[in-house]
Amino acid sequence: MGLWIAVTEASASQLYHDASFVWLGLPDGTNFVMGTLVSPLGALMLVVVNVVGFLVVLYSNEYMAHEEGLPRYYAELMLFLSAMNGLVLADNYLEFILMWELVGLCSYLLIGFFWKKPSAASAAKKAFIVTRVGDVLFFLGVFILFSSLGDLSSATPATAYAGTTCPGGVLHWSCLGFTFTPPNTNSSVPFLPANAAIEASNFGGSSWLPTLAGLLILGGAAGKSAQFPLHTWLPDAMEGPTTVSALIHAATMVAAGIYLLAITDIYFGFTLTAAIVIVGIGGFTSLFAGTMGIVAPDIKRVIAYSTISQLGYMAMAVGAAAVISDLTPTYSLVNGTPVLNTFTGVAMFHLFSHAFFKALLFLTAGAVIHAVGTQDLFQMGGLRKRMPITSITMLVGALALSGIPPFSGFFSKDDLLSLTWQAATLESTQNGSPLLYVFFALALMAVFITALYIFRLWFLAFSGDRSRGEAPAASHGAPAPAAPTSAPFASSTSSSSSSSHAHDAPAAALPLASSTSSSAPSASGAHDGGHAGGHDPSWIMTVPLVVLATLAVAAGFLPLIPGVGHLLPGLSWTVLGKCVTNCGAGSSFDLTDALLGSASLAFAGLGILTAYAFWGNGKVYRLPKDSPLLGVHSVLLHKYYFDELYDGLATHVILGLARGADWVDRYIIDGTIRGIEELFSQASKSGRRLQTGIVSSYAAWVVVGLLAFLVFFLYVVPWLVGGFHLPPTPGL
Amino acid sequence: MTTIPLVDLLSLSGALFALGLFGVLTRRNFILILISVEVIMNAAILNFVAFSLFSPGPAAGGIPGQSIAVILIGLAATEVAVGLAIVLALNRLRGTLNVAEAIQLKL
Amino acid sequence: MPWLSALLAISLVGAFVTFLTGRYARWAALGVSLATLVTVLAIMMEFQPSVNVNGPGYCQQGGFQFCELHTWFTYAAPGGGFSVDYLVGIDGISLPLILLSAIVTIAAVVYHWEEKKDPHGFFGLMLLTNAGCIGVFVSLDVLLFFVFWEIVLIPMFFLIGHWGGPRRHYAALKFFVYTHVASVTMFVALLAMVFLGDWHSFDFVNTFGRQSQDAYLNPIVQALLFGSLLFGFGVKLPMVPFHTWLPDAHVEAPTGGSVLLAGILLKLGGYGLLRLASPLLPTGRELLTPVMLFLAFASIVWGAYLSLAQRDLKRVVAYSSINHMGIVLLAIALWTQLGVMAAVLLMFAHGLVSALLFMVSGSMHHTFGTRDIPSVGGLTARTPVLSTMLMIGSLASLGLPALVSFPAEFSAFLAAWNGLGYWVLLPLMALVVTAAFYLWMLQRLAFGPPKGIPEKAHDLSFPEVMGMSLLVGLIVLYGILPFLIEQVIPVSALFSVACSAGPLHNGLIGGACTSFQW
Repeated sequence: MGLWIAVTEASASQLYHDASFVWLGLPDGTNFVMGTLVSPLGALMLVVVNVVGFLVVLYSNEYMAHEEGLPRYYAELMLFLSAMNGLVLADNYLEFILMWELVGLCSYLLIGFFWKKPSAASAAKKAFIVTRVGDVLFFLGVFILFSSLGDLSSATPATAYAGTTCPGGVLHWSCLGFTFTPPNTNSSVPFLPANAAIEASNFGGSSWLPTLAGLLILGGAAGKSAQFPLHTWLPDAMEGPTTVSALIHAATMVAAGIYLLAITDIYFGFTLTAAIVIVGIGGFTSLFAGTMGIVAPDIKRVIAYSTISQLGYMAMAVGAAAVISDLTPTYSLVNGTPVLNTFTGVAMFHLFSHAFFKALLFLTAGAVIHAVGTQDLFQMGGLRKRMPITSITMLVGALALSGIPPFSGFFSKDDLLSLTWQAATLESTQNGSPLLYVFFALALMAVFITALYIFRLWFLAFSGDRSRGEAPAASHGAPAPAAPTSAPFASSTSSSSSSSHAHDAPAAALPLASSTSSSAPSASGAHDGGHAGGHDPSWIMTVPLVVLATLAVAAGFLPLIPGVGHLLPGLSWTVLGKCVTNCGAGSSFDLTDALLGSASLAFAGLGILTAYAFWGNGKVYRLPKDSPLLGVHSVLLHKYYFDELYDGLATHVILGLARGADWVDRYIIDGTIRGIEELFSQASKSGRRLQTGIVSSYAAWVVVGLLAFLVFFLYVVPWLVGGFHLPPTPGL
Repeated sequence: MTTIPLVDLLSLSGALFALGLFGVLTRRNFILILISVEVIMNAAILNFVAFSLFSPGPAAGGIPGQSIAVILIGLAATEVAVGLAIVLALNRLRGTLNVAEAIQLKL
Repeated sequence: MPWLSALLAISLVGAFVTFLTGRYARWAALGVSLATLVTVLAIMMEFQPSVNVNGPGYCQQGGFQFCELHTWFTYAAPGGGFSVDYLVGIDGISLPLILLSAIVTIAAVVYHWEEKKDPHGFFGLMLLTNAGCIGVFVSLDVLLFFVFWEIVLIPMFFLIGHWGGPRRHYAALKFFVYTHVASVTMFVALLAMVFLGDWHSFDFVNTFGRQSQDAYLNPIVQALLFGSLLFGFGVKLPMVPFHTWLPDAHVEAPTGGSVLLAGILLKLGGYGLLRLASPLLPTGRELLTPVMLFLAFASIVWGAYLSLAQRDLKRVVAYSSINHMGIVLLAIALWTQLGVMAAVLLMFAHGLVSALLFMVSGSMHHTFGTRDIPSVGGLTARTPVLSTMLMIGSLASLGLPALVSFPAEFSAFLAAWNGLGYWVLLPLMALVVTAAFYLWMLQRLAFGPPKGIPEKAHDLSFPEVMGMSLLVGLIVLYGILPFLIEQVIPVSALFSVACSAGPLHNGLIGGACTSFQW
């Protein structure tokens, strides 16, 4: 179904907007509506979601066959797919947020699928809360957009959108973005150096408000796409089944953050400051996450770090696209209406290819885990001969990830880096700031790191003679945690375990027999005895692998298909500087681009060679005892201590505050109430002594009261009102 | 027809009231207290009658004091009836008529 | 057809009949609550979402429908005298709450189907509470309002005091005295408003026609009266720092009592602010808006943080109620059209969700003999249905989309952003804390290996499941299609706000109120 829509969209080459219904009517007459909108980017996402979704479901048939609660698994998976499709098809921010939270819910439920494991429950909670922080920022960003741009029916804001009315309701993308008339179309004055939607004039003259809105939306995207500093949940999310990791935490849901950034850039635009921050966050995350991948002992976590890193690339590309749109906006005519050109297609291209090769990597990793019953890299090895299909398909994924031609990652990463370079050049020539070059350098270093960690993974798992797990020899087996001083370059130490990821420590510390049940998901733990040696899985699992491997190659050639060019706005498919399709007005060969491509290729090759040098024989490499890199290694292994920081913040600061508040509530606020209560109770105790029960004393009090009454009315009141006059009584 | 001055009547009524009040406050025997209350009541009735002599009658639109006196006499009778019933019940349940001992309503 | 009188009669008479039915009490209670619900639904069918306020009769000019006016007695005196009336009517603000009241009651009755201890009294008191609440929601007369307001207190006092937990007498007394002090304050302020405002009757719809009390009361008096009303309604809401009766009452109350308490009674406070305090005393409201906002923020943050520190599941839910009602107070304090709508919607949502969560805590106590969160774990393994209900309730309460709280909270925060700007970050951050404590609770209770579960522990009984399922169904229904209930609110919200824009406000719509056209 999704594919059909995508194909239709591709052939129709225009927006398809369905009739929508009012979901929430506002008292002032504006309405929130629910509707569907198939946009070019959305169509691309639909392909990704549904292809990967189908393959993962197929793969699950064998991979999850031995699990309890399969109905729940498939129900949650289907809910996820429909919510994800809904997210892609949403035509306004409110609907988007609704679906966005629903996919978050599915992620939460599926990470916690093995809910009996405390670590899985904890990871699920962490994923939800960390993304929730981002969501709150996202909400606020949408509020800003809504209150500034939302009410298009009134004349005051959004004068840039002259002539557009918003029948679809507020927060509606299609009427905010695609059809607006850029300012000064017919005048000789050049276009304003920014996207029209985020002109300060639309925000009451404030230039920082649109920047803030962009940054807040970035916050939401960072939460969902696990960008620094909200990245900590994604590695822990590997507690879920591997299929879930492949679908949700690699291919689709985490990419929703990038999708959000992309559509925001198209429909609203980012200010220059916001765009530069996005480039910075993305570039930094790409390197930052990659470094942690070099030392991670868990096969799935390595791929998870790689996901974070690649998502950083995409964020960087969106930021770069926004920078270019801000600095040199160009317009083209669509159906006679000028439309701002956007370059987000570059990021989407990488998202597209990444979805396939990353899903492939996860699914092959799943096959390995399925076969050997552990997630610990140091206990694998020599699987190449016994699992040929798996090893080759994973090699395809690794090459694609590293960016080696002709695999898809090469093309998309090349375009992405070239776009960033372009943005950096623009920024430095126009504003004299070399800042973007720095981020570009970070991203380029990340190319090297990427190749290094993914081939470390591949060599450790497949290369060598035999599985170390079968005969854990002391020479290269996992060292006992009792001797952390030896600090092997690539090994897990139990000291790395914090409260939230404690599960992977025993995996490394214990012999294989017991570690399988504690480290691998109970899926493999339940039946790994059957294939202790490891062999390729049956066709149900291999078919998805082969299909994905094919796609991991083919995805790179997507722009060559005629008629899909508009799905990837702003992308010109270049190979080492030679533009092949969708070329702009410029020359078809770009020397800078060729050099950049060669450099990135060289970095990737260097990374692979380095990995081969260290781990090519399939053995675990250890750092020498006096190596100065030990400290670095430890920091990396502890994931830069972010978990400790956040845990400390949560348990000590926030929970401590809560406990303190509870004390105040019980003893001060409620204590005051009880004090008042005590006061009355004491007063009534003393008052009770008057109630003797003796009728005579009551009578005496009556007399006293009567006398007081008389005195009051006969003497006090006349004194107060100044005289007491009886009315004249007739006849007296 | 010689009329007794109002002051004399009010003095008599006041004296009766004071007497009754003294009885209510000092006696411990329930029956004596009841009798004292009756005396106070009679003082009030006397007051009404006295004022009715000097106020316009119903024909002139005034309130007939004597009729109130009659109502009050009836009221006094019912009060005695209820009071004596309580005295009987008290005597049966507690075996005493001393109000200082009957300080609780529950047994 | 006097719909509202019929509704009141059914619920009130039904409650008293239930007292007399002995062992058939549950059938009687079910019949009465069903009849109430059917009547409410019939009223909803007849209700016009946008009424022509220029229609005949001052009631309709006040934006109300289904009005019935009968003079009870008049008191003639120089200077105009007074007429004491029976005046009922509803608009889009009260209708959702009446529906909520009927739904929650029926769910509570079904949930308690197997109540053993004096069922006739139990069901009768629950129905009486419901009748009182409906009475408050339909009254357009200060005196009638107060009578029903007090009627609500008494059955709840007995529900806590007779069917409650070990410290029930303390909790019942605390509840009663606390809320009674508040309602006396409220009553004095209301009477002062009536007499000082020269009303000549207790009908407050009149004042909509007159726009406000500004002509009669000077700002200081208005502020004083509004402050008293804020205290009176705020205790019920409850807002910090007058909230401490709530956790105690909830912990000791029987499940049905908690359900009614959280589901309906708390809404009375918000309704009072919406209906009486804010529109009638516009200047007072504007003077005290900073105070209201401060108390709202305090309630939101305080409620969220304290939930994090609780061990007893009922206390967790009770403090989260304080948090949510803080958001209601915030939305009311904004006094914009969107804010009023959000407040009503949020009260409706919170009524359903907190009722569900209190049922879950009641069942947990019933099944495991404790509500202490750390001492039980892994419910999913042994009592999957209970665990699922807990999960749905928690997720709904933390504002997950497609469940009923989301549209309400979204509108509330949007209104807050429009009215307050960056201050909205404070309650938004509390939203993270809310998510954190619910998820933490779920992690400890629902997940992980089974712990502290007795051998004989059984999952929910059929009536319990039915009671909860009713609420779950509506939570999902109104979450996906919120306009089903939401569409009746906007016009009334707009009217309420537009006709009470005080002088300081410079009137969004201002004087146009009297000639309002939809």
